[in-house]
Parts: sequence; C-alpha cells; structure tokens
Amino acid sequence: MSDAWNSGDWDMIRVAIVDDHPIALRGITGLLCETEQFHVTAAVATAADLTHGHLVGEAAPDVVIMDLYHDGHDPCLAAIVQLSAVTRVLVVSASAKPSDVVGAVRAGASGYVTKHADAQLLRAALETVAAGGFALSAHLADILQASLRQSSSGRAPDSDVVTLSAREEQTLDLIAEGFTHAQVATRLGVSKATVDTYVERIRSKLQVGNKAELTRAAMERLKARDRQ
Amino acid sequence: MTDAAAAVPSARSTRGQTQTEQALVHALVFFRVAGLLQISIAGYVDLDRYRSIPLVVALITAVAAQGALLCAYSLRRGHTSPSWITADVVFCAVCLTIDAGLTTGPYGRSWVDFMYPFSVITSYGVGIAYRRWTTVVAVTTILAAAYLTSATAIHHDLIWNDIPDALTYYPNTLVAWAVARQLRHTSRNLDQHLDVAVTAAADLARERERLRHARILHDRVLQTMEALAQGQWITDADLRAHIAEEAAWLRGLVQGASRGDDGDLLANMQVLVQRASHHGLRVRLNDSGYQVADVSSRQIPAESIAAVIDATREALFNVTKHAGVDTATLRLTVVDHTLVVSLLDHGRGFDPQLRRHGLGLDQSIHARVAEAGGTVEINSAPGAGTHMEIRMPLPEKISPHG
Repeated sequence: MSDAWNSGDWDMIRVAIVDDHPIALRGITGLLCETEQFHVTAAVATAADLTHGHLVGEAAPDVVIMDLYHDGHDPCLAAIVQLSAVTRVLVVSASAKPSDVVGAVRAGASGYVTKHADAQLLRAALETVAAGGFALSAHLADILQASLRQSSSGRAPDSDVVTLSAREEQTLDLIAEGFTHAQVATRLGVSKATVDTYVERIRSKLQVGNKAELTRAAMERLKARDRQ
Repeated sequence: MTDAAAAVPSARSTRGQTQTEQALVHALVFFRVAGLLQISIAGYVDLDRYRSIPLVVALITAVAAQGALLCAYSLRRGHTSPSWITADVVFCAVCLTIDAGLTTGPYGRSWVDFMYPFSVITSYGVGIAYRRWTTVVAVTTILAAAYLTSATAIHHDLIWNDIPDALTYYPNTLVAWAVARQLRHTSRNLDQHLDVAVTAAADLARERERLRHARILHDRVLQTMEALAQGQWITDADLRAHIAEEAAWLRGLVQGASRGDDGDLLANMQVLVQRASHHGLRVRLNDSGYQVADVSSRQIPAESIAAVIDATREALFNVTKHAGVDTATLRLTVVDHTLVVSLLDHGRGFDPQLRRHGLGLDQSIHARVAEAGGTVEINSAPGAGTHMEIRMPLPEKISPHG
C-alpha cells in the first residue's frame, strides 16, 4: 500500500472511513483494499478523531465515508457540515431513519448507501462522489421521493420546502427502480447528460441556501479547532 | 426468536370486591354488637319488670349466642351469606314473639321490649346480604309481620298504633341494600380498571423489552454478522452464505420489531435476496419506500403477503436461470394505498409473445396474486432486460404515515 502511495499514484481514490463499529470498519476497509482503486488514508471511530492532519495536505482524502450514527443514536449532522466544507462525504448506515438521511444530504452529504450494499455499489458510489457528483443510490432515491412528497403535501409548514419538477420526480422514481442514468434517459426520451443535470438539480434544491450558510459555519468551526 | 412472553392472561382482580364484602361484614357485626349491647343493658336495667327472669336471661343468651355465631361465621367467610341471614331473620322473628310473651305484664299495653329495638338495629344486616330488593322486602316482611302479630295478638295493641313501628324496618333494610349495592358496583368497576391497568403495564413492559432487544441486536450482532458475511475472514463460501442468510432474516425481523410488526414481509424478502445471492444473483433490495410508508405487515392480509412473496421468489428464480446477468434490483414501496414490488434486471430479456415454458410467472402464482386482489405485469424485450411489477392493494383501514 505505502509503495503505491510513495510512487505518487494519484489515480487512486483516497478514502477516509469513520465508523464506531470496529468490525464494520474493518469490513469496509478490507472491501476497499481489495482493488487497487482505493487507498484508505484513515480509519477512525468518530469524526472528532479525524485530525487536521488527516484532512489537509497530501493525506487529504477525496471522500470520507461516514456512518450516520457513529456517535450515538442521533445523526452526526455537525460532522457532515464540517467535513463537506473541506472534502466530500458519503454517508453509510446499517439502517437509517428517512428523515435523518434527508437531513444528512441537506447538511452536505454527497450520497447515501446502506451498509449492506454490495461492494460494486459502494465502489461506484465512491467513484461518483470522488468526481464531485451526487451518488444517488436506489435507496436514497426512494427516501428522497417519499420524503419530498410528504413535505409538499403540506403536512407541516416548512420554511424550506423543496418541490421537484415532474421530470425530476420521474428520474427519482426510475432510479429507485434500479435503472441506470443511461436507461433513465432512454425512458424519459432525453440525453444522459440531461439526466445527470436532473440529479444535480435535485441535490442543489436540497442544499440550496444551506450551502453558503453551512460552509461559512463549518469553516469557522474548523478555524476554531485549529486554534486549540 | 420466539415471543414466548406473549399473552399470559392475568388473573382477574377481585381485590376491590373482596374488600367491599369484608367492609359489609364488619358493618353487619357492628350493628349486631350494638344490638346485643342494647338488649344486655335493657335486660339488666329492666330485669325486675319481667315475670320470669330466668326465661328472659335464657332468651338474651340465646340471641347473643346466635348473634356471635353469625358474626364469627361471616367474618371467617369474608362475606355475608344470604341463607344464614334468612335463618337469622326467622330466628329473630321467633324471639320477637317469645319476647312479646315474656314481657306482658301488669302494665298491660306498655311494652318493655328489648327485642324490638334489637331487631330494628340488626335489620341493617338484612339489607346487606341480598342482591335483589324484592328479596329484601320479602325477608323484612317476616320481621314486620312477626312484630305486628305478636304486638296485636299477645299485647293486644291497636293495630294502627303499631303499623308505623312495623314499617320502621323497611327503610333500614332498603337503605342498607341500596348502599351495599352501590359499594359492590363501585368495587367491581375498580377491579375492572385495575385489570386493564395491569394488562396495559405488562404490555408496555414487554414492548419496551422487545425494543431494547431489537436495538441491541441491530447495533451490534447484526452489523457483526453482516460484516462477517461480506468480508473475507471466513474462507468457506457456503458458511458465509449461510451467515448472510441468517443475518438477512434477522435484519428483517429486527426492522419489523422496531416498527411494531412481526417483520413478515421484510424478513421473507431478505431471505429471498440471500438465497438468490447464493445462486450467484446479487439482488439490490431497495425497501426504503416501504419503510417510509410505515405500513405494518400485520395490517396486510396473510394471503396477500404470501402471494407477493411466492411471486417474487419465482421471478427471482427466473432471473437467475434465464437472464444471464449477476445483478438485479428488487424494490418495495407503497404508492396510493398499493404495495408495489418490482424486480428489474438488465439481462437477456425475452419475447413475451413466445409462450416459452418456464418464462414469465407460473399460472398458479398469477392466479393467487389475482385472488388476493393484486396484479402482475411483466415487461420484457430481447436484449432489453426484464421488468416485473406486482401491485397489491392494501386494505382501506391502513393509514400509512406518509
């Protein structure tokens, strides 16, 4: 591993893992190390263990895989906010409350996969996130579709209600069904690039307004931590 | 994981009713003792007025003895016995008559009588013992009649002078009856409420325990098992598959338990997924839609669940056999009061026009799904994969927390 690192193989995707369940941590680490595609830069139990040194400079990860509930029963949204300001976060969870998943995406997560997703799915998600995209898995699509349908039916007067266009809803539904972006494009009669745009638009609708706010707050928190 | 602690019917509470009966017995004893005190004092004070002192003493002793016996018996039993009270009333009536005979004296119509006040005081006991007011009235009449006849026949009183005295019994017995009835009614209610409260508390404790177990299982055991099944530490592939299957079943169960149902649908789907993976088909189960809808398996009729699971099993089998692909997506969701199960693969597909044996779903399964009120739709084309969709309407009563 260190040989590849020293030889400056920048094609490898650098991943840091945060999970408080030691066996799950080892499992994910092992999974990623199976191929030459990924390099695990850090494997820690909580986000607090990711020191400044882990996050900047040469060891900076392209993606941080983070367990949603690694610090108790509440989702670690603050950590997501902080981390997504300096890197990209892919949230995993053994099983998550839909509201927590939506909260995580709003806080800045670039995707969500369930912990018992197969290796291929996880790797594909990591590739997407590392490239700066939004890893919209079938699970996440269903959760978003259901949750956004909920909020738009006016159950609670929510100041940040997100409404999706008909196309975007169709996209979510087809992705939840298991179709790839290319197949979604065929079904909708548009190009794949258009579908990619839909996905990005969905993401920005969820993170709009929050992003600048969250980024600013996160940077301040990071600076405060550096001073300590 | 069997729910062995389920439904042990708790004994019906009788504490309130027992206490009420005891209180009523105490009342009976109280009035009886008061009456006995009265006749003892009256007898002692007026002893010289009586013609035959030994007989009067004998009568008092007899009454006291009978009273003591009645009290002891009732206290021991914990409640008043109607048959004993009836016997007691008859005895009292007899004593009234004897007493009337014993107290006729040179004074003629004035009646130094100790049995009458005694019988009035103790008549409260009569009302307590009986459930029906008709019985109370009937028994009271024995006393009233005894008094009246002995007063008129033996003492030669004018009947209309003594009728008010005779009528005195009735308010006593009837009021006592009414009060006792109310007390019994209240204590019965109390006991019923106690039963409900106890059962509810037991249910709550059981649910809490189940949730606690589910959480522990989920946070620890389940993750460990899944990691072991996915990782490479266990080299025996069959063993890993077995662990994966058990983990999947456990996951379904735990997720169901934390949502308050028995995880029937989810657990079975997880098992199907694991079996498929054992045969080389990696199925991506997307149950988020179903989870978000928060519909409990318990609310779906068993035949519907069974039909859906069998149809899914067959469809998965077909994909494994014919699609020539190693991944598929199985999606569970709820849309507009309908359970939707869809299976998508990007394999060879087939031409639905050609009725090839073994492709599509078995007729019997189609029929079962239809019988349960559902529909199955299969879309496929050569080279374009296969998409199966089962739609099973949910009963009207279900309110998915959308």
